[in-house]
Amino acid sequence: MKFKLFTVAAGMLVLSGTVLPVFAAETSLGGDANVKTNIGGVHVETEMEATASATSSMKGHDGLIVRAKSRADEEILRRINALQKLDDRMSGMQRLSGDEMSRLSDSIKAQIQAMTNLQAKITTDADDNATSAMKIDIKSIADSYRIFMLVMPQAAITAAADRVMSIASAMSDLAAKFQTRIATAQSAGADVSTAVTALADFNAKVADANVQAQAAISEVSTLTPDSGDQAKLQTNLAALKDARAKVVAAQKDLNTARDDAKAIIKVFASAKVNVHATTTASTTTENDQ
Amino acid sequence: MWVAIIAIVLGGAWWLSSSSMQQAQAPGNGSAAGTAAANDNSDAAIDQSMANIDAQLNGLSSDTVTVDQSMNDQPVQQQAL
Repeated sequence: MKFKLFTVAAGMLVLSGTVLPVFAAETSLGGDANVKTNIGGVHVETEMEATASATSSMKGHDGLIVRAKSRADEEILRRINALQKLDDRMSGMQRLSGDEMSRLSDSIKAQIQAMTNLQAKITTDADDNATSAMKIDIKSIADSYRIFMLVMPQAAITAAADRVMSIASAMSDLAAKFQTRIATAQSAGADVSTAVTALADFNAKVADANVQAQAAISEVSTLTPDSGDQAKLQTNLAALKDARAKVVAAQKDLNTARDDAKAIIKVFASAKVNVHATTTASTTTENDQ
Repeated sequence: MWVAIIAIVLGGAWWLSSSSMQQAQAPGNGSAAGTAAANDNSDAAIDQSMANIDAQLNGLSSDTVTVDQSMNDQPVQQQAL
């Protein structure tokens, strides 16, 4: 009976660690345990360290505080650097509306500020040897990870989609040049059917890339942090994955359009030679007559 | 008297030549230059457009790498207290 109870208790411990890794980090029971899990493709590893012996815990207390502060600093700085990099990228965006850009940039800056404040607080906790306060602050690193895991892909997808729209705009300008050149070559009697077909595909791919980019931005712009709601976490992850797929599809479209452009340019080069040859041949024929 | 007239004529000629040189060196209107570039269908203009697009496509590749990294992020394990 005792064995059965122990088995059920152990099972519940493993289950809680697997389903709720963030909360598993809060749990500090006797013994060592490493819990690894995967939330929608996002790998999260939580380590629970031993506090089995009060004596050994007191003995390594200072070292524990130093290690805890060091790991907290590492994670906080990692997030600040990533957020800063993305905020810099935001300033280079060209197609997004001013409001949308401000909203994203404000969201990133708020996260940077929150992380900076948290780091200062943890430093104070460590200096004061305030283990309880430090424990709470370290827990908030895990809690805020859910926000980081939304804000980062949200901004990265938006930046990529904005780039897609910039390229699509440049390609539309190029299409107008191609159209004029095709008309000129046609007037000169060159066979430009290959270029006409390639330009039609070029225009279709550019249009689709624009549609995909717009859809990706719309899909991620309305997402909000899940605040621990598992169902919302899954919904957010699904939306981010779908938006990413749209950006990848748009990238594929643009690469195909670029290949079309190369084919069109090749036709122009060939048509120039052919037109010149035709003109020379007909002139020679007329002179012979 | 003649010296004064010659000086005035030379001064006027210098002023006219310098103002016409300034006009020739003045930068073109930005939008006009932009329109000219947009309407330029030459091989060189198309090559330039292609080069710009290639650079942007490289930037997009870098952007998609950032998207993937952000979605596969790994947190630093925290020390339990």
